[in-house]
Amino acid sequence: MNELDKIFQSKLENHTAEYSEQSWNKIQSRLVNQKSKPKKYPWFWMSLVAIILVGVVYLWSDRDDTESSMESKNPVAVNKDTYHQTASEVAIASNQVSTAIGSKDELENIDIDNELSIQLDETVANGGEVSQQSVTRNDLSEVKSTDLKSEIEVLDKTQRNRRSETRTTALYGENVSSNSTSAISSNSNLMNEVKAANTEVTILHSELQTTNTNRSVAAIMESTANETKIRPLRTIGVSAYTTLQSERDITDIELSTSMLDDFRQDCPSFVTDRTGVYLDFYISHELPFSNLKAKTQELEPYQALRSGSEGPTYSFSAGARLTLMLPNGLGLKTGLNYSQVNEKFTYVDDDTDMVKEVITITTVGGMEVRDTNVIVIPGTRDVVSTNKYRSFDIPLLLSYEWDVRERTYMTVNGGAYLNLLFKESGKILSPNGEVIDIADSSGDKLAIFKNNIGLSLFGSVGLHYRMTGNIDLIVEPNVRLLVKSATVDAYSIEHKWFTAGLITGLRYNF
Amino acid sequence: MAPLILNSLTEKDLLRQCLDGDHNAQKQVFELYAPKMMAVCKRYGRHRLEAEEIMQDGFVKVFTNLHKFEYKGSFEGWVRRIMVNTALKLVSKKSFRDEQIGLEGYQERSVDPSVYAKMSADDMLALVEKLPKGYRTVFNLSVLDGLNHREISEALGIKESTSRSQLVKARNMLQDMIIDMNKIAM
Repeated sequence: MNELDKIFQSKLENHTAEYSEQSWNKIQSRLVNQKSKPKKYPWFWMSLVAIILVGVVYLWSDRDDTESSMESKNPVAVNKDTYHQTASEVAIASNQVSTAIGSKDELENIDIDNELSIQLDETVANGGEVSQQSVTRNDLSEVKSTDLKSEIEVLDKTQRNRRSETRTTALYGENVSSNSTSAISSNSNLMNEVKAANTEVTILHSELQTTNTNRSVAAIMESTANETKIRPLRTIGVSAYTTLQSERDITDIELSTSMLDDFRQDCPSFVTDRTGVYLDFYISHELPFSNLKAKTQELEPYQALRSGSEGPTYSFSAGARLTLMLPNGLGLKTGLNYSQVNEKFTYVDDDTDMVKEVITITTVGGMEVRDTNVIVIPGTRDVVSTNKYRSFDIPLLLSYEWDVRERTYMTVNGGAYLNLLFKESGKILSPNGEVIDIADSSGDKLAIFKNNIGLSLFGSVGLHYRMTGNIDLIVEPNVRLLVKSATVDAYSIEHKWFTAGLITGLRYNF
Repeated sequence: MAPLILNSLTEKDLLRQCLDGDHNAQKQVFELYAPKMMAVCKRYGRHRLEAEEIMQDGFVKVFTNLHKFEYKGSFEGWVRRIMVNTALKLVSKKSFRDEQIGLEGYQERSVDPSVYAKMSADDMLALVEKLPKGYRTVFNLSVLDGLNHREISEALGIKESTSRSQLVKARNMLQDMIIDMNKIAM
């Protein structure tokens, strides 16, 4: 240390000075008047929780309703489209057969032991020709029986023995008896052959009862003169059918083949096996919560200064992500994400001087004389700006998807966002209380933020609704946490942030 | 006057009472440290009223942030740092903007040590207060408040080299003033 430094330090180290007697009174009154700050944006958390709760309750109650409906009324999910039947249903397709009615559990992969009992009428099972007189009709109160031309009941005796409470799957066919024959097997094959005037359609329902795997798999075999196709049977739910029925103002059996064709296009398939590639486009509406932390205890006043002048405001992310789904419901997601964390900077400088330089030019005797005056005007300066922290990231996520009901399934996603590029703009207070530009590192100014902020952790729960066969609507509450400080090591404050948001987007199924 | 240094037990008890909102305890702490802190604030403030304002702001911060004090260092050092940071809020960074970095042309000057001995603390403080704002701030932070150049650069948002050059210039200016003062006295 310099000699002069030592002398000054020793003489001034314990130097004291008098202070005003009013000082303590002023401090005490400020301490008394100081109120704790209200928590910022409690409404955001409350609304986020409310959205999630409403979603869960809605899905849960909907499931309960359909189950209780099925058990109390012994009905019936109604399937319009033979190409959209599942294993729990048996379908007949022809240009004259309009509808098939099955149990509510027409979800694919139904566990026979627990869920499904297919009833097969003995007469029909023997391969007898189906006619209106030979059909037994169960209690299917939701269907207008007077409109039915025929119905086929499939009853599996073995299953009926296993469970006291059986669920009914019934087939309804119009004019089946006159122009078609049906051959139905109760063990592994159920074949309905319907001959129409111009079309011969064979429906093969194989492995309806699979003793080994406890699962039912259904297929429809369609034969024409030129080719034979086997298509998996898929389903629609009660609600879809009801909607269709109300929109078209028709009864069950009045649906014609043309209607079926129309419906077939609109009808979403409900396929358990989502193996494949999907592309999500999304925008996430977010609110950031910054965490400023002083690196030393002495710098805490500066941290408090910054915390007091900066606050969260609406932020967003947008991007596209590719999903590779595996057969077991697990998936990998990656893509490109742009995030913009916004914070509002507000500062009032009570002690600012406006400096004006006035140059007066006069000509005296042909000579130009310049007179410069500097005017200093004391005043107050309000500074408001939006600080923007932009980042491009690559998400690397692991996801799991499962069905909730027809058209609807949920996902859980978790993983990391790897930062590619980070840019900042806006204003903050420097340690001496001056408003500075956070992106300005020219001259003798320090760079405050890194060019790459590294890793973020991401988690979300998504609700997907299948609008059409290829397009899903995504609603996905999510959170994201920046792992390390975005500021450089030389800067005195660590700056991390956490965002909570709601993704809305579309998924395209390839 | 109350002793400036409390034993650790008393200090902890007093601070605990402050945390409980005891105004008498807060007043005791204030009276204990205010004289020293006022001297610190006077070094940074432009005038007495500004120094008072800094000190009041500083003590409000001390009491509202007392729960963050972790007893890792001396309480006086913590309070002093808060005062310094509060004071820095008032120091304009413009003082450093037009500074030419580089120490060419500046040489250490020698002053007869006997001259220093004649000077009182108030004389020295008066000289420090005469320094331009930028010089004064760096001199205060470096020599009197014990910050190193890295800390000063972070506190003021300037480069370390700028801090160094400001300090050298401040020293030279002080020595010039002391020499001039001595000449007049002679």
